[in-house]
Amino acid sequence: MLNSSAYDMLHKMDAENIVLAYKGDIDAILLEAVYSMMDRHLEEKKTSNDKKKKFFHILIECLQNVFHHQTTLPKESVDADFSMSGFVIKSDGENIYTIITGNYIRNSEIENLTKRINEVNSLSPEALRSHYQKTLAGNEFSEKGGAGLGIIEMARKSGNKLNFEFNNVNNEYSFFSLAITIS
Amino acid sequence: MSNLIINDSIKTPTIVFDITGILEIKGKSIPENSLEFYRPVYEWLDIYSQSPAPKTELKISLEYFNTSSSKCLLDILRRLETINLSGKSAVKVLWFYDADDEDMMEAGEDYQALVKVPFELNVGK
Repeated sequence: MLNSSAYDMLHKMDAENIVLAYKGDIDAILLEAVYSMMDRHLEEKKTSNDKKKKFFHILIECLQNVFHHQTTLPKESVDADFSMSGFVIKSDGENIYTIITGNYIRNSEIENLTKRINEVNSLSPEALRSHYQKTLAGNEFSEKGGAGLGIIEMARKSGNKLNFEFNNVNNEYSFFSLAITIS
Repeated sequence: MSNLIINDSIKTPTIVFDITGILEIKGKSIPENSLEFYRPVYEWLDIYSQSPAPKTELKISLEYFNTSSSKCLLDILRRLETINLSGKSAVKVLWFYDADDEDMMEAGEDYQALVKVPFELNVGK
């Protein structure tokens, strides 16, 4: 039997409820393809328009967050050939999706990022709205092109908490995983 | 100066800014680099602001937009606020949303609260 049997691999994906998984840096053309694949998937599942809209709203923020913040590691700084970003979209039931993204970040960013996510997770829906308004009115674009609004919007639109984790790679870099469930 | 016309794409809205003071943004706005996409709009408004039409009306009817576009929309509205305050043009913003789209209604309310310019929320397209 082939090690590369598609049958086995697709069954594994199915057992894990994986709809789509991608490993590699994220760019504008890739995002367009992902949006249209997921659009097709939601059409097949006969997802209602408002659920689709909500899903896309959050998907776009999650993936563009990686797009803006992904850091390609210098080859010599990782053991394996895994100097890239990625994401997994899972479906754990009808109209329940979890989007998990991963990208390398500098260790110096961990403290601030942790603080920001914890803050967002602690806020009520009303407080999230005013936090969004304040950030919208106050923040300028960072040099990476983010406006600090993405994670607020993920929490606000999903109504769920953000789960996250850092895996230390070395003195300079960590791998940042972020998961949000849309139900 | 001439009119600004940008055709829509999968990720960006139609933009028609007419020197007669009729401005429109319509469609969806989810580009990765919003700043790059909206830069011509800022530039057009900066020139327009020097001698605007007596009345300026911006119609925004967006299906949805990403957070980086939301920042750019605010910057556009702030420029209109400045034009209005200069007394050179009476500015009005018309924000359209679908009757069942609470998100776009809330987004309109958020902008209404953030900029000091006549701002109407309307159901429709």
